Amino acid sequence: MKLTDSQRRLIVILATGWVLLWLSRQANHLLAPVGISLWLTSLLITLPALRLNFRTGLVGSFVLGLAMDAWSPVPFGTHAILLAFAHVVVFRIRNRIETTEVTIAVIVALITNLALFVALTMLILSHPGGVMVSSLRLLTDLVVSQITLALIAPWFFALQERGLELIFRVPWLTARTRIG
Amino acid sequence: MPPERFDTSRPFIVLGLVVLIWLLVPAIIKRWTQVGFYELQAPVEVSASYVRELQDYWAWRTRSKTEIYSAYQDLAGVAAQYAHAAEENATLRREIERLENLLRLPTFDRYRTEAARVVSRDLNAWWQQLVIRKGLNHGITEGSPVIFSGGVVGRVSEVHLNTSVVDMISSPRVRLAASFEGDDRPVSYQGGINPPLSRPEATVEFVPLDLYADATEPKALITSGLGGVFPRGLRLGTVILLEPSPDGLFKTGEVWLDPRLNKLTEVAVLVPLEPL
Repeated sequence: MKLTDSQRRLIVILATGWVLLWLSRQANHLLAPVGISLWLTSLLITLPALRLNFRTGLVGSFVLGLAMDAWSPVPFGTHAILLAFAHVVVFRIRNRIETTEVTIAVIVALITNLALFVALTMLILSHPGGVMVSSLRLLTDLVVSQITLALIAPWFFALQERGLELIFRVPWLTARTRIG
Repeated sequence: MPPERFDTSRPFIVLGLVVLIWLLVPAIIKRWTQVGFYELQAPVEVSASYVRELQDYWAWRTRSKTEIYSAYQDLAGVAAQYAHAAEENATLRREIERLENLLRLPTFDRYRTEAARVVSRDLNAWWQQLVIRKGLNHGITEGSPVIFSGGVVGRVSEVHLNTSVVDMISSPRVRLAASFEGDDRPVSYQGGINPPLSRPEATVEFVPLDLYADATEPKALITSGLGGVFPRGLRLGTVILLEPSPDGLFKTGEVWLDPRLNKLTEVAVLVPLEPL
């Protein structure tokens, strides 16, 4: 069976996204004793939304969201729909920004991460059972997550770009012209 | 060629269709997908926990023989104490059995204990849960109580093939019936606000007005045995503050949970001998 270019891109996005999910789970396991957790979800959708075609990015975001849902006590599909929505919004505005600039991509990731964090908090707070959460804890988690995200985003984007280069066996700048 | 307005809003229309299709997918297919995604990722998570144990092993191998010998001596003392306690326990069990037979009472042994290692901890502001390395293949059932040396950890919320998910008592989603040590009246316990860089906390409600507790004279909170999930007498935490509730009919209070809850590596699941 021969894979199409789109399918290869999707595999790279899913594989790198899954590595990030696994790493953040390990980090959260180690950070649990100090009462801090990381939320780096926007990294999963930033590069696909900024540089890949719509369908590949949307499918990638939705599937990675389902992978997150399987390990979270929220209705199955919550993360998937949130990530798909974030992907659509970023995809919609990408014509107005310089998508090849890493700094711009990091800023987009930070804003998207904040929006996803707030959206999930709102969804959980609106649960019919009534859930109490600590605003101080939310704020601390958010600040630590944003700092971590700003630090690791360039590495993660480079990992995704390198993965895309490897599947096309051409330098990223050439490969990028084939994506869109 | 489609009009420009349609072209620009196409991504949102596609998203709307995806959401609509997702909402129409039957619940059983969603459940299968969820289990599939979970089981696909589980082996890697479990492997990571084995790698952590290997790291610990090699870290211990770097210790000097003198250090290991002194640790062995300490452990030998603890083991001797446990051996004595086990002997006492066996005698008491025999006595309970004798009295049960004599008085024709129902037996107390409703659970068997299954020790399990912790695979991962997911403790955030929204939920607090553990994944443990025992599941359906080890006879774990949904709803089973989970304990450790400091008291209650939580209850099993999901059971998978070789792993289970435990909802911790520090989770804001957990609510159960409790009582104060030495007092039979039930009160309502809810896992609660977990501030950063500090120990897990919970709240207690509907406390009778004649009960008092503060930081200088804290009171132990235990499971009441009501509700059929947790056996009576398991330690939940320490009540360090009780204040009258706004309606003045009861008191509400603050509970400090064991700080070791956030760094558990091993727990015990109480598997009911009869289904819950």
